[in-house]
Amino acid sequence: MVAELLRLKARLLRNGFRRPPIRIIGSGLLLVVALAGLVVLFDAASRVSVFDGLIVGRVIAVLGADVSLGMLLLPIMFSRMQLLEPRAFLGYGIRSSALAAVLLLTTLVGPALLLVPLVLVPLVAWRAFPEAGALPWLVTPLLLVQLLLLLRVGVALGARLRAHPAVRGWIRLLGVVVLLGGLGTVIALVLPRAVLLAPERSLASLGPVVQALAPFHAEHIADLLGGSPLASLWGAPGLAVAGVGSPSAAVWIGIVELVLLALVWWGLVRQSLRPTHALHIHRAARVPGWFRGLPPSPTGAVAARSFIYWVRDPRYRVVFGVLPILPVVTIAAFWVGGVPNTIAAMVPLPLMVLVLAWSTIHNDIAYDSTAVWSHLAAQTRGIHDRLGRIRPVLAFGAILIAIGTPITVWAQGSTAALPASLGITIALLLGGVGVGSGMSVRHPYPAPRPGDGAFTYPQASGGTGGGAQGGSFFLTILVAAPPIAATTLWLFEFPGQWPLIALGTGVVSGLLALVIGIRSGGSTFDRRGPELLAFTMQN
Amino acid sequence: MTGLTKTFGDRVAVDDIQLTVSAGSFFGFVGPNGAGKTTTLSMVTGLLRPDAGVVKIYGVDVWENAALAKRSLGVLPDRLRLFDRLTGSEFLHHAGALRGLDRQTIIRRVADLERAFGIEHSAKRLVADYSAGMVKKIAIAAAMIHSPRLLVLDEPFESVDPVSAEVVIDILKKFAAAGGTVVLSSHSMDLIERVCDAVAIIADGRVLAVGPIDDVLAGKSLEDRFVELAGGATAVEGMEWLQSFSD
Repeated sequence: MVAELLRLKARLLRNGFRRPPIRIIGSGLLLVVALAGLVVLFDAASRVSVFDGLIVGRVIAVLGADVSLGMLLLPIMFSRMQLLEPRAFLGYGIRSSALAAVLLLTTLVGPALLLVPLVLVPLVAWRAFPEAGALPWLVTPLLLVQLLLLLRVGVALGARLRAHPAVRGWIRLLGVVVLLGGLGTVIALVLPRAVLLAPERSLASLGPVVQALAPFHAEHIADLLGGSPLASLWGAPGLAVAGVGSPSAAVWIGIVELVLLALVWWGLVRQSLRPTHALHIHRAARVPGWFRGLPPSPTGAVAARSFIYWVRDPRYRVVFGVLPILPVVTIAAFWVGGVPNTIAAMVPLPLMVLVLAWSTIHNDIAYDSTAVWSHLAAQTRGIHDRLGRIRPVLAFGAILIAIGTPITVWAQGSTAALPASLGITIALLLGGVGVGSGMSVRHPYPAPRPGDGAFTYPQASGGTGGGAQGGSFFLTILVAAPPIAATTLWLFEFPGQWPLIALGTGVVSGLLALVIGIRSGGSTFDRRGPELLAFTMQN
Repeated sequence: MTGLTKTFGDRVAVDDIQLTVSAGSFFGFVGPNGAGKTTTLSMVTGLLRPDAGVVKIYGVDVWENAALAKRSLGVLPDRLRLFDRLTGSEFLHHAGALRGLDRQTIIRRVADLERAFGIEHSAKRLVADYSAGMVKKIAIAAAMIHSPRLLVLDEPFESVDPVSAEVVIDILKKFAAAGGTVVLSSHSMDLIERVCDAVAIIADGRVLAVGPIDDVLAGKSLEDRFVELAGGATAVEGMEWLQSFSD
């Protein structure tokens, strides 16, 4: 079976070259780059005697840990399928343990063969340090098995992640940071010594870089990484050479880790060989997603639908993309302008709340053109429609305020900022929602269609809605004018309980705008339903 | 409906239409393109405000007492977009909740409708990814979820495959047999002739013929009768160039 599978893998590998020539050239180039990299590594390894054993040990440990981590992470980040998927052998009655072992071996038939010279690199390096003894010879085969196991586990996990692109996106981001961090640590370790040792100060121009890297204490990071389980086998000879720590303990940790990895790999193979059972779940008996959490009333239905659109529709999601940029831009602008911290800190959060509350709801009739006919056909009352649509905005706004207020208070430096900031943000949120609820029914203007990007403007007859945009924006700020005025007085240190006044006026004017906006918007919706439908059909 | 009229600009789309559809009937609405079928049905279902005229559903005026009238009305409009960012079952839940049904009823009816219309396996896909026929089916399902007395379906079988159409027709026939009323428009004469027990032929916003299907047909096929009434055969003259080929 072993020979069969190895032949099969070789055949698969050869067939992999039956691709467009450009792809083959690409793969060939990658191979050349990898080989060149190996040559460079061997060359570097043969010259390490100029450094002391401690730093060589650190560099090998960190680089090695990076390689090990890369073997695990890179396939998780990028692999979409595994050649020789264990499940493909379900029908042959092969024992899972045997299959796991053989599949591990077949990994070597392929690009992973390059791992063999890679694990030999430290062996070359340690030749310069006789104190290492036989330890390098002992850890090298263990390292090869470790890398192969990590690779297989990574590929298996990566193939499983195909169904979860979002999770993979996060892992990719994290993986790039971690792997580059490891390389950065190595550079920070080697550079100071290299500059000192280089003949005739040829590397003196790198001096400032070395100085800049000094505060990061690469040695500490390296020792931390070197102490991690992934580096224990790589670092064991280094410990022996430097005479610190316990090399034998490091090797034992490495062996235990190998056993655990093998068990994980075996478990993955076993799991793929398990026959599937029919799931006894009544599919249809479930209430889908957002509809479960909200009451089955017209308002609840509109709210659930709105939530789903906020999450799924690019027109709404763009708002979430803009929000984090706002504080960065405003803070930068204030910093350049030399505005004092106490004032600058008060601005970003209200701005974010304003954008969130105003962005789509002031034209939601046009945004949800698909809604109007179904609401009209079901004779949904305007007020229910309004109350449902504002739920996501209020919810997201509340979350934003809850997160942003403590940060604002912390940045501003006075607890009195709490009521002031709350007053402004509540007024803006409720005001934006209220004004939008009223305006969108009275003055809808053409908006991007559902599913389109937020910046594709529709080609439609009728106004572009500049008036409605500007008007609703202005009205929203007007609602927040009392708390903004009170906060301004407080910031310029007029005597009085201005922060509390800001909170009070903010809540009152916000609520007032909300009630008026929803009531008037609702009744207009009831009255003008067919005309709104005609409007939405035009664009 | 009496005296129903709608003009767009100076064009009269629907001109003083009088029609009575009796309860429990399966009523077909046929006419050439641009005859005013969709306009009429939109006004009947309260989606388009008529310039003049009265529509009563089971005695309730649609434009005076909309809430009550629409409770007994299920609508499938033509050419209007659905909430295509929802999945199939989310869409049906939305429709049920919008009609004020309670949760248990919604769950039961959504399951039934998904089974009946053969969309169980697509229930978790976005409506945006559905084929045109699937979209029609789920829209018909949504129109039925509150068990209305009257179903107004505009072009319900356009781009629906024959098997699904047959299933839907079966459901509609049972619905009519139990006392429900179905009004549907189509330009598939065969289908109307086969399933409807009463029919109205309209062209240029006017009713040309109306009544039980046997009376309207007067022994001919609906297609012949339709062409005869709507006068569609005249266009064939003056196209002689199409018979003398260019090569």
